[in-house]
Amino acid sequence: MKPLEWCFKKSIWVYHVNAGSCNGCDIEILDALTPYYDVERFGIRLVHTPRHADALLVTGPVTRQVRERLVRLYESTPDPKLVIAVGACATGGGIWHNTYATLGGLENVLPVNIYIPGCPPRPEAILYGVAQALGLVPGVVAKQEFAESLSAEV
Amino acid sequence: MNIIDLSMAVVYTLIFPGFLFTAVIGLLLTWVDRKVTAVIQSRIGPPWFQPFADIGKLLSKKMILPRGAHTLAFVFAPFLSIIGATMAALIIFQALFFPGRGYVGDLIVLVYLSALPAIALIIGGAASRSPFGAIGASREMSMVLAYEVAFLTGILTIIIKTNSIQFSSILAYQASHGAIAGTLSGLLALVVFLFSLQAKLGFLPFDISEAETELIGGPLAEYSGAGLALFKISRSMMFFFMPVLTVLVFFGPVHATLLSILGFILKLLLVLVVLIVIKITHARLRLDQALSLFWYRVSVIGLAAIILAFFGL
Amino acid sequence: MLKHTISELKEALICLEAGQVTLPYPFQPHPPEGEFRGKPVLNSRKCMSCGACANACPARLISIQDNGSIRTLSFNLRRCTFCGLCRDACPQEAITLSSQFELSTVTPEDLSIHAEFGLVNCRECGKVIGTQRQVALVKDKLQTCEPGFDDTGYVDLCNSCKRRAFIHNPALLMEVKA
Repeated sequence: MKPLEWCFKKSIWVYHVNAGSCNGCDIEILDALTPYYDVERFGIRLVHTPRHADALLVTGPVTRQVRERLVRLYESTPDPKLVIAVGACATGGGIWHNTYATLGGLENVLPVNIYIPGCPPRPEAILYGVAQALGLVPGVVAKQEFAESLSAEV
Repeated sequence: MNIIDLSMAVVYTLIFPGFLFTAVIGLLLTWVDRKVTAVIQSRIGPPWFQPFADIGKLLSKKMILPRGAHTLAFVFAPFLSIIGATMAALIIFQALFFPGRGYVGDLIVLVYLSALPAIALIIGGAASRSPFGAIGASREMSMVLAYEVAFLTGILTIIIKTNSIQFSSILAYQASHGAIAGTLSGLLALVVFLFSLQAKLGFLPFDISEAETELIGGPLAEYSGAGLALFKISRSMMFFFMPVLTVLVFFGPVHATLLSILGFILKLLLVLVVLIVIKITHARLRLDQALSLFWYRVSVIGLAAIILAFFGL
Repeated sequence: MLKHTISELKEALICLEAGQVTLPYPFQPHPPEGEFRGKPVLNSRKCMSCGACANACPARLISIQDNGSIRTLSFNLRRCTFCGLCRDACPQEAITLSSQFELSTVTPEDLSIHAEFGLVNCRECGKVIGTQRQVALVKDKLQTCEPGFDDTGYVDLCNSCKRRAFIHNPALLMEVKA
């Protein structure tokens, strides 16, 4: 691994964007910053301006109103950057997936690097997702598939 | 000046005891700061290489020039900051490591140079064409006027006591007469010095100009990548050499014996821990509260120290 | 100011007494409490693909599609709110909510359940009457209600064909009249 890449993986400063979320995920993000989970162990810090950020932590289903602001935030974040979708709404639209007021999930607006579903996700799940984005832990979720053998007689 | 002198000057400035030495130790001390904060907050805290990883990452990132910003001032300000920090560090560490290389008036030059990072912040914030930057710059200006007065009263006390404006002779005075902090006026000046140090380093409760929660970083709000990294490096250099300055001018010089060096390091850590503990246990003051604190309380204590120093106390 | 400082320092000392509280989380598992609702899991042995869960789901993430002789039941867990209504609605208790919560993924396709079931078509008109499992279940229940009941004539028919066959069978009609 190149030294600069290593530096990037060891120091992720996140900027938290609320794109029409109900505040559930936002509260869990705050929980993940408490001493119990201590994200500073991994060099993760919450910063207050997108100019300092390396990762955008987006919650909410992206309402029509917030779309423009979200794109501006994304553009004002210097490269390289990660986009992390937190919660069921940002991951796939949640229960708002087909309403007129939202765009049904973050991936319809920005390229997403990692999805953290949950309504809201536990602080552990958020921590796990960011750690997975940094390559510290493997992803554990897999598609469940089943096909009944069609030759079975009734 | 021949080529050897020139190359020696470059080495002095860039490597030891100038930029590189101060920056590396300063970043390590930044880690100490973060670790102590973490311990008091009952958590583990970052690994020791964290400040270096932060700087490396910031240097690898793109630096965005905000639309409508004054490009020259915006790009120049971080360099001004780091030049000021490097030159100030050079004066202090020359007095520490090579006592013969000082000149008359280097203490006054140091006072000017140590104000450069704050002035660079003002320039950078004002040039960024961001309302946050502008408010931050104006707040920083008010704060500079407040804490530099207090800082100067502390320095003046030392000058009056030692009757000298040269670093090496201040150290020589303390070697023969005992530490300045041992006298009443010296003790008062030390208190004033610590207050203005807290403000100079931009620590809570005086981080009014940056105010991450309300001004999202103030003058630093528009800086990204290398510009931010330079500001962070100069801030951590200040975090190293300002406590060293405090220890040197108030607790006397360090000799080449093991005991003396250990004592110096202990005193340095003591000053650092006082600064850090004040930083993490206090909430941010309002601008008017900070100004009245500096002008009506701290500067008055500083004036008292000057008057006491006149009477030789 | 001084009073404030002293009280703040006291608070810092109280915090110091607590020691280190950080959990060694991503490196050691931290299982949730008992009633936690995590990722839904489909027990494909019990499921008969009736669609009760699809009706109950508030996020409408469960879809049922018939294609030829195959019924596809798919869960798009990306927008799952882990409410547990599908579990409550399921007559076969085939859906359980596991305690798995570490669902972060790079490819959102991982967050899905895909199950295919064989369909039974009406003997007369070819209309879909249900999955093989549903038909088998009905037969089973009929056998338990009335042992020895001969069901072969009607179970494989759709509702309208069943009615027609019933009307055109005089013996049965007489039985009902009596």
